[in-house]
Parts: sequence; C-alpha cells; structure tokens
Amino acid sequence: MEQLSRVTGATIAVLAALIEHGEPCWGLAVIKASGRPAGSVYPILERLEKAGWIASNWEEDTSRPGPRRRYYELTDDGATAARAAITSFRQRDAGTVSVVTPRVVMS
Amino acid sequence: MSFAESAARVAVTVSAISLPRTIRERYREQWLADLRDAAEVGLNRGQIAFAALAFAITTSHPWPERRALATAEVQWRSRLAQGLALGAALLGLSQYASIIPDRDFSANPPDYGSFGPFISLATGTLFAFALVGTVFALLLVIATRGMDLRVRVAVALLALVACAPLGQAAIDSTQYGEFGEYLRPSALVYLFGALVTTAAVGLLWRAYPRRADRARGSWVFPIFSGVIVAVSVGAGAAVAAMVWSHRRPLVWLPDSVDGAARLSNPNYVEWLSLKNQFEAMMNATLAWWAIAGVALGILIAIMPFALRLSTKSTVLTTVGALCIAVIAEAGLLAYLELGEHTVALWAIQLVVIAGRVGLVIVAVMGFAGPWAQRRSNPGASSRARRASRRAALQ
Repeated sequence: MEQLSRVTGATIAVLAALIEHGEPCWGLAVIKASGRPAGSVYPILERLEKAGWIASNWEEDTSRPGPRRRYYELTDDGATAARAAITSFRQRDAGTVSVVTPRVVMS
Repeated sequence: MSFAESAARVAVTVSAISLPRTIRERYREQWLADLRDAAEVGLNRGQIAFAALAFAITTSHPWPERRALATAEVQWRSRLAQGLALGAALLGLSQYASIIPDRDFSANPPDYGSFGPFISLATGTLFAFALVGTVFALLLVIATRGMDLRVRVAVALLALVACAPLGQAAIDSTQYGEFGEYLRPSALVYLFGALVTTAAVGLLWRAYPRRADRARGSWVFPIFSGVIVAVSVGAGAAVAAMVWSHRRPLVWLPDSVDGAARLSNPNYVEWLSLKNQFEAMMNATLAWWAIAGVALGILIAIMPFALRLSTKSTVLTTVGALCIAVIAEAGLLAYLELGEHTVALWAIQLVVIAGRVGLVIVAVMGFAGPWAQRRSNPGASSRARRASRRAALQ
C-alpha cells in the first residue's frame, strides 16, 4: 500500500464514510455520505484505489438489469491507515471535524 | 428518455471514451449505473455527468508499457514526425498572409524586381518542404506504429492543415473576384486549419507527461522575452504606419501647409475628410498592434511559469511568437496597402518568408532538436519520477 501524497478534507470525508459504512459501499452512497460533490469524490476513490487503500468490485446482485454498480471497501491496511489519517487530520485541524462527519446512506 | 438524461448519458459516454483504455470500460459502466440510480440517493444526473467530465479531464493518461519498450530510435522518429508535421501545418496556415502580395494561385504574380528570383526560390522551397515534410511525417508515423495514439492523430490532423492553401485555391477558383481579399470564403479554410492545429497541439501536449517536478526558473528571462516581443510588435507597427505607408505624406503633411494654400484648394474639404479618415485608420492600426503586442508579450512572459517551460523552450516559444507576429504584421501591411509597391511588395514577402522559415525551425527544433533527443523516453522519465516520489514518501 502506498502513502497518499496529499490528504485533504474531502479525502478524510470519503475515508470516514467508508469506515462508517463498514461493508462494501456503492460509489454514489459514498458521495452522498461524504457530503462532497461527485466531481471530488470520483477522483479521490480512484486515487485511494490506486494507492491500495480501498478495493472495488462490481455488485453481485444479478436481479438488477443493465450496467452494474461499483462497490468500494477499505482494505485491511487501508482501514488502519484511514483511521490514523482521520485522527491525524482532526488533531491538526479541529475545524474540519464537522465537515468529515459522514452521513451514510445505505444502499 | 428525457433530453437531460440523454445529454447526461452522452456526457458520461464521451468522458469514458477519453479515459485511458485500461479503465475506460469500467468507468463507463459504473457511471451509467450511477446515472440510472442517482435518484435513489437524491443526486442529480447532471452532477454525475459533470463529475464524469471533470474526472476525464483531470485523469492523467499513463504512458502505456508498450511505449516504454520503444527504442530511442523510434522515439526520435516520432518526434521528428511531430516537428515536420507541425512545421508543414504552420507553413500552410502562414500562406494566408501571402494572399494579397501573391495574388494567390489564380491571378498574375506581381513584379518583385531584382528580388523576384529569390522570392520565387524561397517560396518554392517552403512549398516543397510543406509537401515533402507532410508526406515524410505521415510515413514516420506509420513506421512508429507503437507510439501514442494521440501523437498519431495529431500528426494526421497537422498533415490535413498543411493542405490549407490547396483548399483555398480550390474555393477561390470558383469565386475569385466576388469577395474582398482576406475576407473571402476561403478564409474559412484557414480558420478551420487554425482550430485543427490547436486541437493537434493540445493532443501532443497531453501525450507528454506533466513536468510537475521541474523547479520554476528565474522570472528575468521570461519577462525579458515578453518585453522583446511586445516592443518588436509595437515597433513593427510604428514603422509600417509612419515610414512605409505611401499615404504618410497625406497624413503628416497637412500641418506644414499654410492656411492660404489650404483655402485656395477647391478640393480642400474633400481632402481634409480623406486625411481624417486615413488618420483614424492609422491610429486604429497602431492601437490594435500596440494592444496585440502587449498581450502577446504578457503571454510570452507568463507561459514559462504556467507551463514550467525550460529556458530553451522559452527561447523557442519567444522566437515562434515573433515569427507569428511578423507574418501577421506583413499580412496587415498588405491588407491596408500601407506600402509603396516598389518596395513594400518584396519587403512584405521577405518578412513573410523570414517568419515562415522561423516557424519551421522552431517546430522542428522544438520536437527534434538536440535537447529533445536526450530526453529520449518521456514515459520512462514519468515513471522514474513517480517511483522517486513514492520513495520520498515512504
């Protein structure tokens, strides 16, 4: 797993949403839960996946026709690193606590 | 399906197409699913579409592995092809400035006096370069089949632009005499060519990795380059209007004519009206070129910082800007008929030739110059940078 070169408030919000959700989470649910615009969350998810913090898979529900949803979840190492990053970020900048508090939407 | 939904699907599909091949299909399906189910989480489809577009624009396009295997020779051929194609395209576009002095392909060539043979030889050589350079560039691109698709498309587009004068000749052959000089329908050929060239240069720009690790250089040299460009353009305009103009006596002489002579001239009122008209034209010309010169100078001064250009690239950019400026200025001279025919015809042509030769040199040297050869594999250097960044973070 790679270290992130840049950890922003939006990154922390996405990580917090994934931790809060616990199990594989639909990409749009991450967007909703993080409270960040989709234009920010898609690149963050891509970056986290490239760095090995999260993994993604297609949905297994075969009853829904058409294109499949993509589900994201933290890897074991990613979950540990995410908690550390959130703690570090909150300690460094207490003003962002309210921003990173996730509002998880179950899918 | 509503129009908004269709538009969102088109945006998502186009965004996916522009992604690197390895992730293209994955995101296309993911975004289409997100579009379909956006309402479930209370999101707008437009947000998904804009997010997809933003993602596509900001995603870095990795240099594929197969390109890393390309030999230095293949890299060199590709660069030469890009330089030749861009040079040929710029030659094609710069032909626009020569429409009036050349009277294009469909009228009698003007008499350049003793400079005639030189001008004919120079323009013939440039035409041959555009032709041979285009064909050679296309052959090189075919020979470097493993290279980036964007490079190959860009070279093909530039080859198309190199044919702009032929398009102009074809259009004018049916409509000659019905429209005024630069504002003929054939001007659209050059406008189209300029747009295609811009797209091709954009593709080439995207084909190379960003140079985020390059430190910003001194501000002195870019500022100096910008001032040179601005002053050159301004000085050229001043010389054109105040020295070369065959209307200069008409504009500047009146103040030295005494009142009695003016009043005794029966055509004085008409003459005065003409004088004011020409003065306004001259002032507008000078003002336009002063603005253009300052804008171009500022652009040249800012570009090295914004694009993190090296000193050599800054020099090439400055020379290229000067070439474009002198070609445009020569075109304006011809358009406004500011020159005396005995001198200005060949002077304008020589300026255009110098500018066109300069553009070719800048294009070829920029891509295939000695320093470009040393930077043999941009993909490899990009990976090396990423590896070094990773090492620094661990």
